Amino acid sequence: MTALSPQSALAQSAIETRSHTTERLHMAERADTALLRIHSLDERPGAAAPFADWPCRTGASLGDDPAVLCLRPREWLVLSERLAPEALYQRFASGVAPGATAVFEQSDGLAVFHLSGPAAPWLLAKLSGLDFLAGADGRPHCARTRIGQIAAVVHYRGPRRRDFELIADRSVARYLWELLIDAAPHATELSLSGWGAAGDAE
Amino acid sequence: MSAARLPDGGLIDRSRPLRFRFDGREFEGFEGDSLASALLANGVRVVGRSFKYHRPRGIYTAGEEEPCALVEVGEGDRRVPTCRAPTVPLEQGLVANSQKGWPSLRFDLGRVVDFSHDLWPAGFYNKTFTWPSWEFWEPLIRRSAGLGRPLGGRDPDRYEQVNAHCDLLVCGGGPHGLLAALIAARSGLRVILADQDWRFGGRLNGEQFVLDGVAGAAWADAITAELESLPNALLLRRAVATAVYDGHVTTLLQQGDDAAWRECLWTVRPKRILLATGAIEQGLIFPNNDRPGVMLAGAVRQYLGRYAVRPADSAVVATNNDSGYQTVFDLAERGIAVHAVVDTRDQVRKSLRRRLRDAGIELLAGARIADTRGGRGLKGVRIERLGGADLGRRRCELLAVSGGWAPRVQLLAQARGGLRFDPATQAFLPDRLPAGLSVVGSARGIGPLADQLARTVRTAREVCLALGAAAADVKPPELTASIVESETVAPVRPQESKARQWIDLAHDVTFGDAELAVREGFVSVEHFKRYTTAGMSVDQGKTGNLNALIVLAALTGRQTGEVGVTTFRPPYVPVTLGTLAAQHTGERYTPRRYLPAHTVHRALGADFEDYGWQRPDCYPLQGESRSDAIHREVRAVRNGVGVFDNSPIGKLEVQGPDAAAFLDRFYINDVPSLRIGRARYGLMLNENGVIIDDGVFVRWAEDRFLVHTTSGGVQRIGAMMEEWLQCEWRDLRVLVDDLTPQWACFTVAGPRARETVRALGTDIDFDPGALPHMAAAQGSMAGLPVRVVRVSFSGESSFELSVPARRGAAFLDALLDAGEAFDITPYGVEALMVLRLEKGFLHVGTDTDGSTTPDDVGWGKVARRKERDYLGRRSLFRSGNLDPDRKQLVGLEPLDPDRAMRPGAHLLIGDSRQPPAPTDGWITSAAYSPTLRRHVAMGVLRGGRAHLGETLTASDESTHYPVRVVHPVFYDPDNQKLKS
Amino acid sequence: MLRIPCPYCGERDQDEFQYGGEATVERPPRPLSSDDSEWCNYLFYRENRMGTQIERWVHGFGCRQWFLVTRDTLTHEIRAAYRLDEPRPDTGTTEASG
Repeated sequence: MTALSPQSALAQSAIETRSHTTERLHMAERADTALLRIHSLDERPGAAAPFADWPCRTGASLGDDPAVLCLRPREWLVLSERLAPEALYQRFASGVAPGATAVFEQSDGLAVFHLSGPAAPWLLAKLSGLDFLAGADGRPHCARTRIGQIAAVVHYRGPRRRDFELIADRSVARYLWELLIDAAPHATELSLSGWGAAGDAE
Repeated sequence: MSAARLPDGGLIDRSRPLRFRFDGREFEGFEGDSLASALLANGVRVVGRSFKYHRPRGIYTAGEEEPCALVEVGEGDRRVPTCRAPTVPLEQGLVANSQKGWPSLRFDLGRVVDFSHDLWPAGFYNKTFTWPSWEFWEPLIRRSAGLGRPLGGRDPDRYEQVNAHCDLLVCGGGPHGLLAALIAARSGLRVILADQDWRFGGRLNGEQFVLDGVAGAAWADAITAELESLPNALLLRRAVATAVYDGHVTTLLQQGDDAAWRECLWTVRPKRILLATGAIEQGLIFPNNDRPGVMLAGAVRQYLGRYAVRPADSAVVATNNDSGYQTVFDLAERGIAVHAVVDTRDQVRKSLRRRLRDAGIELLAGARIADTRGGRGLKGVRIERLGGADLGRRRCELLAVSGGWAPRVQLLAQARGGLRFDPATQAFLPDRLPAGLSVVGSARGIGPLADQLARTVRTAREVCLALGAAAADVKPPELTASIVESETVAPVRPQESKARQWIDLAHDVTFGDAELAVREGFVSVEHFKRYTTAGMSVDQGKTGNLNALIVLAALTGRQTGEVGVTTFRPPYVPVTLGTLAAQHTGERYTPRRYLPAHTVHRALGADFEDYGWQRPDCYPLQGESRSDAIHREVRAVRNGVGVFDNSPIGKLEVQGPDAAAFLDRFYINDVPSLRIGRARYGLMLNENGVIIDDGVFVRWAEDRFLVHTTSGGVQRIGAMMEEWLQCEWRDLRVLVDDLTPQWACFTVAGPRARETVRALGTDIDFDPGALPHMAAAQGSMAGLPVRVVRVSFSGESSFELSVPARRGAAFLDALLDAGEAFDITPYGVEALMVLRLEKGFLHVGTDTDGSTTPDDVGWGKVARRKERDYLGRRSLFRSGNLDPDRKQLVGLEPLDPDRAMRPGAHLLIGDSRQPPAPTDGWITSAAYSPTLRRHVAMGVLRGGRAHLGETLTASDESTHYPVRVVHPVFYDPDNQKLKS
Repeated sequence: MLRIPCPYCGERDQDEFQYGGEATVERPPRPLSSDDSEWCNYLFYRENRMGTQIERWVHGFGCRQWFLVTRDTLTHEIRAAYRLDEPRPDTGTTEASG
């Protein structure tokens, strides 16, 4: 048996440079994020911890690592940078209500991009119709939305971690990355307007 | 003519001269100039030719409403046609050109049209160019029309788009827009203020208003500075609102500096909109009112005041309202001789008469311009009483005209606001406002600025309250000095004259065209517009529409209000198509999906094609043609082993206690009887009984299925399952998820496939007894978790191996290493299509279309046998679907074995029929079979199965050849290979 | 462009949604015993109301949930958007029964 090494979503689609850093914008692929998608036939995947206090309102999110995002009623996305995919799976696959819950490993299915810096909300505003400049309180915690021509999940980490994660199907990672790179200069220019800066005051 | 720059004043920076070129000549202007003001300051009078008659035209306005000064800006492939010169900021090294005549500048064919204009009336095209055909004349006419040349090749400019949200969007940054934005911003609301100009202030920039003790422009600068310092206000310069859509969604078109980007489309979603869009001055109708040197009176004041341009040495002013008098005073103050003021009104205010008398300027009341002269620029005018009595000629290089003011109501009308005609100001004014939209300033109708400002403050505060903010207490500015302002406007009246009087300068529509249209019965305002084309040019008739309506009313004996207005449609100003596409071009035109093992395929020399995914078509070796490569790949699968990347295949996970019952409602096939660990091929229909997808489904557990869809169908089928689950079958306990990108999937096919997969190292029993055809297993291979399904689209014994996507590339490498001993060959989509055609396997979307039922492709028995309901079943029993003459899928082979067949060729039953004839069907798939060493095809044929063994005519464009109808399975008809 | 208030995600642009047709269309409960005219009514016939109608929409780019919208086909005004499992809010207008 050979150890077959994993390849990131951008590496898979022949993108060599997988991060982009300027004074006002940092973007990078987070290739090592472990992800799960959980479906339940009932309101929650289980009654006991860790599910008792799960976010059940669409767009709500909970926790830092692992972070739990409620994508819609009875569907969640779980992200962790700390845990390996197997460990994350084990943590949530045990304890779910049998027969009424499905836990799908998604570390291979999804690509994760991290965006930060003052140009990041403008970058998202160029690609999506959501309001990313409303200030911390007005922003969604997570939202599945249209980015360019694909659906992606935007996860806002909140004012403590003023940054965004962008999660999309692995197969379209290159499309998404090229959109982001292409939109970056204008987003940077727009961020100099100062518009919305008050909402970010900490 | 010694037009020049005034010695002082203006909002130009005289310390920053800018060189530019127009029509090849070098000129100099200043920072702060527009292209139009710089041209005027350099004495350039003719800047373009008119659209139809190719008459010389000059600069008519000082804004985006310009109908005449349309020029090309830039060079080479960055040339932008039809730019409005007053809106182009002057830049160092700017290159502009007039939009010249055709075939050459010296011989402008269009001038012939001018000299023979009686032959070219309204509706001319519809009447004249019918022989030999419009297509014959069109290129000639298009080339000689004067609206610039389109670009060839790819546009190198960048275009941007951005979305924004705010509480209040203020359209127009004149005094009212600035004041309203300030009030809203100080009230804590998120405000976006957009103006078409590169500086805020609107007409304050050129008029002699003094507000709160400072010049209008300085007052505007102070408010601009405050707004820019506030994080809740966004100021957009050179941004015009082009459209208001449902729910207040408004698009703004912003001009960039070209270096970074050329145009940007803002899509703003404001809670409320405030229109402070001002009003557009209208011209007067009189003979030869189009000569260079005829300019709107308000524009003259802007050029004098804002740009310090001395547009002429001598002038005449013609007006039907008081505002024209301010132009007289502004001209006189700068030492320009005003030879006459011609007012169509009999009564003129005493104060104005006195000021004219004091200045020694002649007033001709109750009079009009009877004609103008000057071929390449105005030289003089003839004046007459309204009754016709001659009042003599006056020399002048400038004729400033004012025919009243039309509020910019376009956005309001788009938002379904109402308009009413106001006879006092001869204009259509906002009447019924749509919810969430307010109008302030001259956009409500002209009036004294002081009154308007007071009202704007009230309106802005109301808007703030409506948005839930505590409205900031802002006092309206005090007007320390004002100008002559109009409160009423006299009606515009065209005159009896043989000479042409333009009502639409941009589209060369004259009063004569209007008369003709009415004479021929085009009296509805919408018909009139289309017949005369008034208001249909790039300027959308901004300086002439109102006059066109007044003319139509006069000619049909109606009130202007009765005539009404034409529908206002977006966009308000022209939008470059590149702006609508923005970054979604080229590579980013549509999402490209990449296979997990893309880099491996690339290293193998794959020819990629986009099938929704970037997929290998084939893998040509050095010097090998594509068809040779495809045939080699087919032979490798038939004789040895091949590997195909099948990762895009749809992978829906369907789970839950009711999963089997749920899927049973989608497939024509029986689902509950499927045993665990087994797979079954199935067809899905829509409610019309038409095949929409096919694929294999696998049962992993009692309540757990894997549904393979076609690679292009997974999102559609997944969404359809969601719809039925959520909307119709809410009682079923089922979960559906699309896990397509999670798994890389490789098909290992061929007589040596089993040896190859075993060589990888595995705990799965690949023995045919343990894993027969249509069985599935899970285990590990090469140290990875793997799912195996024994299905075949090639007709050979084959194994579909799925591994987690991140290790897809490494796994394919391992597979190729393991298969080296068996000469494993990667094969692409093209070879697969040949393999499946040899085997007679259906390809949904290729061999089926939007009318194909299961029976049409030989699955009728299965579909009928299942007694439980499934989607589309009932439709199979509709009479049209029971017709024995429906098109059915058949195999086809040419009588001449070397004859290549092509999909799309029509089929005619009988061996002697020739087209033209009604078609009996067509070829859907065709290929050369390297296995059988002859050409094979599938097609759909009317009553096809009844014609087995018969010879038909295939008709491919001009060639016709005989083909025989055969059973569509050409290879391994008893499935020996498949099941081995 | 409409702004559609998704009952799960809040207001979003129309281009995140797909239209699912009139919500008042009912599938015959026993298709196999329905006659041609009943089946064709279900397949092909629509009310195409001028005024307020009840429509089915899905937030395809968002939560992928189906929901109901009452919309004025004359003005495009959306009077209500609500989940499939909640009663139609009173909008003060008469709609097609559904």
